[in-house]
Amino acid sequence: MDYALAVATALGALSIYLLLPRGRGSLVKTGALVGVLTLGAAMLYLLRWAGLQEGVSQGAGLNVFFCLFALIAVISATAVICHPRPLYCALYFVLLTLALAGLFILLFAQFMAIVLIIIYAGAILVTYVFVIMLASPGGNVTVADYDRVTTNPLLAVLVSFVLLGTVLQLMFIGKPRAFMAARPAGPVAVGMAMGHKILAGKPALADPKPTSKMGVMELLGVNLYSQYALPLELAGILLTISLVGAVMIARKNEPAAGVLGTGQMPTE
Amino acid sequence: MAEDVNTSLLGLLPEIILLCTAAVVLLMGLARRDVLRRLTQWTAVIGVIVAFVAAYSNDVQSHTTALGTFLTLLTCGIGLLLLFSAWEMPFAMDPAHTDRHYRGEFFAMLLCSLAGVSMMAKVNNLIWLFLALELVSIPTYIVVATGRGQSEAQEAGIKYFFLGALSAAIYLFGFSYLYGFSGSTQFSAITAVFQSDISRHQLPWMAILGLLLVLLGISYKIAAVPLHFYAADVYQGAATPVTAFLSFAPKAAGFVAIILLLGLTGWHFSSGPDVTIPALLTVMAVLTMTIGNVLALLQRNIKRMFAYSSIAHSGYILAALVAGPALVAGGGWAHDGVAAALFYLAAYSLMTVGAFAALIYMQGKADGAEDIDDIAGISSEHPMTAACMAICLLSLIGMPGTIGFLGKLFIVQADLSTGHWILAVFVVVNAAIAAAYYLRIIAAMYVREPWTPSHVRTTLAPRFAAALCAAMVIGFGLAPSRLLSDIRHAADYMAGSSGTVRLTVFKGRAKITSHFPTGSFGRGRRSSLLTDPLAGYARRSRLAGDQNSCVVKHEFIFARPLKKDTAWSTARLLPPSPVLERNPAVVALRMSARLIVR
Repeated sequence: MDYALAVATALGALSIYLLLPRGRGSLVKTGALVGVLTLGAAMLYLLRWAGLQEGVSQGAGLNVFFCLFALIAVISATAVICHPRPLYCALYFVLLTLALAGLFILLFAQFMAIVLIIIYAGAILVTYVFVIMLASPGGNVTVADYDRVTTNPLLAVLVSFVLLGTVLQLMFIGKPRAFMAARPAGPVAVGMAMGHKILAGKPALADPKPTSKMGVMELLGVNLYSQYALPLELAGILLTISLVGAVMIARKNEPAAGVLGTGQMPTE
Repeated sequence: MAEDVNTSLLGLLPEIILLCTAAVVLLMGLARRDVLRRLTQWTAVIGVIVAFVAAYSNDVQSHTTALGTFLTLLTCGIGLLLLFSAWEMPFAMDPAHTDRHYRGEFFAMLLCSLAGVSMMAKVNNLIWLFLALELVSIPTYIVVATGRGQSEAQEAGIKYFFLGALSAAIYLFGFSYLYGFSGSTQFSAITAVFQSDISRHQLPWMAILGLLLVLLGISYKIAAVPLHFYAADVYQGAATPVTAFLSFAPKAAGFVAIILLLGLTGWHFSSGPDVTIPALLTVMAVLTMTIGNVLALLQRNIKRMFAYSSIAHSGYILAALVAGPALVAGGGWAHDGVAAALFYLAAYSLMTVGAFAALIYMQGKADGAEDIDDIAGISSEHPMTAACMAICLLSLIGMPGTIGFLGKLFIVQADLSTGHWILAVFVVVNAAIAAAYYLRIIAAMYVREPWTPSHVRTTLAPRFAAALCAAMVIGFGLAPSRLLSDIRHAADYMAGSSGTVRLTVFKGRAKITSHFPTGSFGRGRRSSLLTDPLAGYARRSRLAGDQNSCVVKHEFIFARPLKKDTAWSTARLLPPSPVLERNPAVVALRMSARLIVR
């Protein structure tokens, strides 16, 4: 067990717990302070780890862009769950998506990055904003209680950080090399290897040949329509079913309105 | 690759038929003419029967595994019974609701979900597995929410949907770790990676984490303990035919998915030194059956009681899976946990669908009876239905002479013979606890005061389904040989094979001869899942003679059936022997065998 990592995880849990919106008497400033401390500690840890990784104790640094995107991602993800106003949460979600897309580009997964932006920042976010706008017609002044106050912050933080801590411990277990040695196979390993090089501030593509096709749409298309043709068809069937189901559920309210209520629009 | 798609398409013929029928039924429900709309159920029934017949044909069977064929036949058979139970579905339960139009959609959803269950054992890819699980689940979310025009159904639908989406996220997360561990979503590649790791004596953390998350997520589908809490509310809130459907479709799909995924690991955990996964399964099994049965004791509502009983039965099947597959294909029932699990799955489906069908008929007669008091004394008015219900309940208890008894017997046998006696004890004790609440229903039907009948008109279809189930529960309980041989074939596909490697040394020459009978694969011989199963261990080895002239005979047991051409290469598994390592011929031979394998 890596105690430094465990302490960093616990600090992170504490800061999120403090930052989660409470109705009154919230400890945002303390939480933010702890959060900054945690981020600093995590960065130091990564620096040390990256140094060990390359077998050089001095000189090897973290990739600047990785640090930048990672910081933006962590901070905006915290804001997504901690900001008291739902609309701001949604906007921070866009920032998070952009930062993640940046990390994907560092891993030479351009397609993944673009799709992430198009789908999440484009499509899903618009839906979120619509839902938020429609759900709170009175503007930000009358945000409902369940939108302002976290229901069960202690349990939520506990569960998620125990999971996060376990995964982190497993990832950074033992020698820094053990993680890589665990499974050197397939595109994932190539991606992981690149990720480690980037972490260690090295040029990721010393030999660009084996990875030159990664993240290219052509490869994806060929795969989709040859090896994954059946799953693709199945996905089509699933989408059809979901559409029909949505219509069924939406239409059901019409005749049932006579039973359930007066058939008028529900009021807040 | 294109060839591959075509061959798997023929194996998927029953599922294609089911999905096409679903499309036709969907359109028929929207037909302008009433005559056509009345025919929707019949069309669905015919589609399921055609799929059943298609699954029986040799052409289809030769393109799929025996497990796939078995699951398709089971799904179509139980699906037919479920269609009969749901005959009047969308409107009979709800007198206020007179819109007959959307029953086409309802049956289409059932057929899509059945197609998903049916293709579950034919998947060969993690992505496909995920999509098949969703194909099972998404229609069930919809029918739970719309099967009944009451607010409870909508509440149940919301709960079921959100928790189901959460569980899907969890097992998808697990799949991503399995992918990260093996570098492929293809089952064959993942198996190969697991098998190359067999010598490590411990699975890498990514594999363990992936399997943990996948088991956790799928435990939602089978209503096993960490994610069981939704079951009571959803079973109660949904319309009764939908509840019957929920007790079969997601459960069968989930268990087959677990069998496939544990099959990927080569099941070597059941004999290997890494105990993480079997320990987890054991704890899950014990908690699931105990919590399910104890909470079922406290219920007065019949559907809630069935929900907890369904949780408990999942625990029994998990207990069977801990025992793992048979060591040798074609062996007896004693060691075969997978066969026991498949048998219990089939048995449980029959018993529970029968009980639900009888309940649906009674509810039609008693204004949607939910409480146990509502069906008190019903036997005087409806002796046939009450008898069917009683037979199914007795089988759920595990009375000798019924299919439920055989199911529990096989599970206990498998657990005892593989040394999991704690599980066997828990299964027996839980069966005794379960008897209490099942007998309470039987007592209410037969012993208590007659009840006042109401005059709601219902069709005879659920009663027909109940009678069919009861007949099969007794029939298979007394003469199970046909079902047993089918399940044997299905489970052999996961079982191991045994053979011998003989190393003969004579005056500086060494020779390896091996004898491995190929494992029986059942009727479907081609298998996309099986790769070279070198995951074996020596059961016994004998050395006769000295360093320069001797015969070493090793008996091997392998986790999977062997292909003939891989048998020789297993010579590399010969354990080192201090005497022979000094003979250069033996060393050279060993080296060459290793080179060939690598």
